[in-house]
Amino acid sequence: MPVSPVVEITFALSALVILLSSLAVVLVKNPVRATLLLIVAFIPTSLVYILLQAAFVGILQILVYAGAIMMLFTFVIMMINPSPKDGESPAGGSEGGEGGFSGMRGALIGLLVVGALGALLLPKVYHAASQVSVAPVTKPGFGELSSISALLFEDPANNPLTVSFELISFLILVGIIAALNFSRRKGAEARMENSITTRPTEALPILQREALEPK
Amino acid sequence: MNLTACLLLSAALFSIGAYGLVTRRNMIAALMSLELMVNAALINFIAFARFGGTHAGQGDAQAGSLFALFAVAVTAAEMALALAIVVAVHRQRRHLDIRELDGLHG
Amino acid sequence: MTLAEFTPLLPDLLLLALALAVLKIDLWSEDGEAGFHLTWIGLAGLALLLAFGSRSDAVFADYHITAASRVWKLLFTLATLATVFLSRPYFRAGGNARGTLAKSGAFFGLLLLCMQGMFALVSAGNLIVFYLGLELATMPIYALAAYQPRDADSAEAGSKYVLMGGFSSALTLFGISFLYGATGSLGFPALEAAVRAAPADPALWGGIFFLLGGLGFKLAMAPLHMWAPDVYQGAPTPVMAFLSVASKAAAVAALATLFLSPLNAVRPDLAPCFAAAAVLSMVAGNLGAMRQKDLRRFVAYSSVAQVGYMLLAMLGEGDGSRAALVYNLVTYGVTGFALYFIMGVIGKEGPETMSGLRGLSRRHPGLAVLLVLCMFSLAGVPPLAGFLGKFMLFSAAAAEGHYLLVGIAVANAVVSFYYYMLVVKEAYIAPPGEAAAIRLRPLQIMVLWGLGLALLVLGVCPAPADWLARAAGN
Repeated sequence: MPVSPVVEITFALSALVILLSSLAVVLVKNPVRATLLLIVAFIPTSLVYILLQAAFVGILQILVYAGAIMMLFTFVIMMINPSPKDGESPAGGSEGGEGGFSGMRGALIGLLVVGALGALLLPKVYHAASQVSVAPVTKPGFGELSSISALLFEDPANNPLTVSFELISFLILVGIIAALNFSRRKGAEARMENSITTRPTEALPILQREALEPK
Repeated sequence: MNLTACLLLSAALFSIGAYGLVTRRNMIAALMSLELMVNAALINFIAFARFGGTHAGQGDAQAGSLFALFAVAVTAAEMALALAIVVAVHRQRRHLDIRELDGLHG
Repeated sequence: MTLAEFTPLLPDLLLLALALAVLKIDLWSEDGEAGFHLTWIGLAGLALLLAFGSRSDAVFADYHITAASRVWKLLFTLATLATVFLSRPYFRAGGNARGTLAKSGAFFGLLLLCMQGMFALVSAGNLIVFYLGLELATMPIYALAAYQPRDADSAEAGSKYVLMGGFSSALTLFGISFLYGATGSLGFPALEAAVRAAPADPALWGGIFFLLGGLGFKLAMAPLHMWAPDVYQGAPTPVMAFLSVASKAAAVAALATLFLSPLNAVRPDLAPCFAAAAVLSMVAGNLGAMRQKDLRRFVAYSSVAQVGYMLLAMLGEGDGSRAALVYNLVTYGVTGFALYFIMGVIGKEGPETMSGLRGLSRRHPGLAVLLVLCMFSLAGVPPLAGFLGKFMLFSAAAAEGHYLLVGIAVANAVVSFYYYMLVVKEAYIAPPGEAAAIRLRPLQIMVLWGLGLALLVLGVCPAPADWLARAAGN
């Protein structure tokens, strides 16, 4: 059964937007712009999920990624007020310098290894993939909330996902403990610093000047 | 729209993310690149769930979207933790340049 | 489901209760003493339960309790217990020259949650539990690496680990997605059947390579080991100890869980890959360790070399390899923790570096003897634990005919003897600065004696090795 041209065109456009905006995320200097571009990349991604009959994951993509995680990024960027010298040097760009992040160099080596292997393997993967049929899944409720919730919550004692569900809650607990641990400060110094940064009359101009201005 | 197109899209997204992670000097931008890589994996999962993968016979189509669901939750927790550490680094060093984090050496 | 059916699951449930209780009790107690005692008593109870409790196997909805998983869990529990004891002076004012750690409740809670992830990892029956276990076993360590308060190096270590760990989990996730595409299922039995049916599926191999890349980062296997020295050096010493023993054991367990059972059919084809990584790790670790002045950094390189030896076991057949891996991790853990406790003792007055060891033979002769035993064991000198651990690894690889590789490994072990002796030289021969005698606390004396005896017993007496081999052999 052929896929309708509307779906094809929507997919092609979404893919284009995803790739262009994620390239921009990687290339643009200002972190605030990168965050906004990342949200732009996430919305068509969720459209792709919906086209692939995974409507619930698509909605979650918007809610969790664009709504929560990107909001967190924006908060942190606003909170720490990155100045232009934070990170990207305006001239020259990528002069590495010595004594830098050796872990990153390690990542580069690892990436080369993985990339070389991937270059050997991926053409074969795509060849195999091209022979897969494109008939839509005819299962009722496939990818929708009702069938997913049934899978997650039916018969908790024997459900293979019970343990996974519990593990997710531990992961979130770890996130909470760690975030609390790093944000909680002791002593008068912390209190003073807090009172300064949260005073709106002082905080706002800094935000406007430093973070929102393009550089 | 077929499996090949989806896999190509995800591979491109993964490569862009990996490139960003290695080249970006701002730690927050590096974390955003990480997000792109995770998203590439999610597209893979959902595409394989929809088209049934390269294997013979009937697979478990729902498993793919479930894994995507769990991966979204994991990433959310991981990013919260990573950003907490970013704040801690900024508090100590007053900058977030990965290449200038060179206090540790042999 | 009746209550009796839950008995095999008891250790996992107990750990969960313990983690939550430790986090809870931290809200009430100001000094963290209650949290410390609850943690170590709970972990000791858990270790006894795992060693002598229910022996029956069980499956709870893709969560497999087997004899092999119990052995791994016992290993994780003992490593965490040692970490908890090791961290004791670091939370005490004046206990360490680098500064005092605060909030012990959150520290122990994160350690226990991390352990929960390791437990899930070795009990996983599908890739979802496997992935979540791997994440839960890593995420708390991001926070723990940055735990030293007001310390730029520690924050830097945390940030490097979070970036590298995030990269590695993205690789793992990408790999798992291809595995899912190749087999159409996330359960291990279906995975195994699909791998047997079509071992040459390109999507499967794509998945395996990305997965190996991700796990290689976690394992600090060369050429993906570059993060390890920085993270080990910046993290607080107890966290470094946990990272080098428990977390390393978890990564090895992850490798063994996947490649010795569901993906066993493709392992012979992966042999060149494992062999290359093993040789690279040994060489990179040994070359790196030679020129280190900081003990934590030294430990990082030495553990990269150990990973190289352990990868040899991935070339052998299933049961023997698993037993060799577990036994080597036990001996490495005992040796490592003896060294880390010594580092904790010298870290009270000075930095934990090579020069901090100077004059140890005069400041505390017993401690210096233990240091010599540690170094001999790490180098694999015969009557000590490290020798038997290495011997089992090498014989697992030799049984499959990889003689050249075993030869390279032996040569590397001989080379490593040189830099382990450099450490001994600092303790015995280098001129001491000021020679103040070291006083040990009763707990430290007890633990150091226990580890020292274990170093000797595990190297001479094969009974524990036999027991582990039988238990881990499934």
